[in-house]
Amino acid sequence: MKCTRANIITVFLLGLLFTGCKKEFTGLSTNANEIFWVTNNGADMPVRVMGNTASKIIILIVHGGPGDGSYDYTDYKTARLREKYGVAFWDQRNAGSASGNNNMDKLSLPQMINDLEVIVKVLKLRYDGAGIFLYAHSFGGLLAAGYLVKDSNQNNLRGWIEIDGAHNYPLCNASSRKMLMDTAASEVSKGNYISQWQNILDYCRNHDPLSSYEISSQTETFAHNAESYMGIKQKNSLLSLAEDPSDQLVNYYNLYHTSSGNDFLESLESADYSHQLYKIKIPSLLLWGQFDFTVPPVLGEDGMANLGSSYKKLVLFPHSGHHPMETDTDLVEDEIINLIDTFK
Amino acid sequence: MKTVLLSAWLLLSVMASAQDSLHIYRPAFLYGLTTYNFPWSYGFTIGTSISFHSIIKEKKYKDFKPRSSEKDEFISAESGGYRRRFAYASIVVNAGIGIRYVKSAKYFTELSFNQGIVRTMYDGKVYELDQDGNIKERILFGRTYLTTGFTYSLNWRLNNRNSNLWFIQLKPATWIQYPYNSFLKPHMSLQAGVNYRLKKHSSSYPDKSQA
Repeated sequence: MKCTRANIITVFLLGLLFTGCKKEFTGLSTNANEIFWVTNNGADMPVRVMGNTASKIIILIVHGGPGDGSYDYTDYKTARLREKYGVAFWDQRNAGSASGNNNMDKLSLPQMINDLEVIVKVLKLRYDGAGIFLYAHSFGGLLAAGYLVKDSNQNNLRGWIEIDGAHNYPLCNASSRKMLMDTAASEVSKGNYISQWQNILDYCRNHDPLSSYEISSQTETFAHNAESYMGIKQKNSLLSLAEDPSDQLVNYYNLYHTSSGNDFLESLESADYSHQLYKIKIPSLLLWGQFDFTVPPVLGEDGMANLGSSYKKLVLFPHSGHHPMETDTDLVEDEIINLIDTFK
Repeated sequence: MKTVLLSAWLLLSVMASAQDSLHIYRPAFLYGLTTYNFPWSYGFTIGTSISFHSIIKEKKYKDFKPRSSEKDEFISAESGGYRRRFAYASIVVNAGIGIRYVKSAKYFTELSFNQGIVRTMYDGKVYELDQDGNIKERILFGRTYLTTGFTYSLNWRLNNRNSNLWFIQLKPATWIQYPYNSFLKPHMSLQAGVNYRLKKHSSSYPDKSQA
């Protein structure tokens, strides 16, 4: 073949493309910023590891949603944690930047628990000897609880942090309704946001979120609104959850506008690990926003009552709702650092 | 009513059109473009387009100055790649069909429809659990998707000579990737680069100012 100028340019451009595409694991670092992928049963899930992996401690983010991504946690919310430890940002299947072809039919809680099992195995292989802690928020609390009570999975971890975690959906729904009604009655009597609270009160009195997914979903919407009526700062952009907004659009469309997505969400309504939490023996830190109407602090108290851990601690944050890591960032990070430094 | 319509018609400019549909030899174009795919993806595309049918319309207005418009129908083939940071690199191959609207010797636009495939290869290592429960690495692992898209390009001539013309091309594109997580993933791209006309035009490409 003649070595023409066009050939040289083509080879150069292809070389440029492919030499740029590999971020190989190069060992432990005090300022790591690397990515690896795990492919499991139709889903390819990215795990971006940032921070101080040389600490031999990895905090694995189990994000909420379902359908959100881990990208949202890469900012100030984990800045101090990344200085001290490595933080692994995992996008669950059909969330964030996780991709695949036709995989919605495989989306289920047991499958996601299996995904988490594989992710932890890979982390242990890749960061040989590192201690792993789970950092599970909201829906991630359900997923983490399902992982921890299964087989001997908890032996792979040094501890776990549940932040406003929904490890018991029925309790979550019932307590959300009660908290909304109690607060609404109180706020109406105080004259705060009277029409909005009265609307919530009327709806919750007449609708039991345990009776249908639609009512549960509407109650959750009211729970989000209630936080803002109580003066809790909220970030309203869903598009910041993934690095590429079109990924997020696809994930939310799939979850909320397809039959397989709705089937999955409805299947979660009965998910309850409270009665199995006694199996969990590893150190457990429960962090809750006092004004979380979505996953109320009652869930944290339930965790304290049922966990089998010899070390378990519940911390309530008085200026937070469902996202204390956003509104009480320093306090949340202090608690996590204390836990890890104690049990690493 | 008829009188009103006729009167209104007479107020409009008087124009006679003649249309010629030609199967004449037309040059191929080669192009090389850099790509920015929103958000955070960068890459390049090389391709060619070949006209297979041309339509030239001669119009004579009431000022007796003839003006022509020219459309070329073309097919195209292109390949390229782009990389999304901390995610994947991908190779794209597609074929298209489109229409080139020749506005003048200095400027033309193209509208085209493309169908193709994209193959992704993930950044970093890819791990998988094998049947024995052990973790294994997958080399160059990624996914293959179909793509469908539309592009609209703007082309400005770089020099004044009538042969071997170079054009600057700016090409916005919108395309979908599927099946992506059982659905369609939308993309928007902006491409910019050069478009090179291989040989001298055998038909007019008349400079409108000279026509």
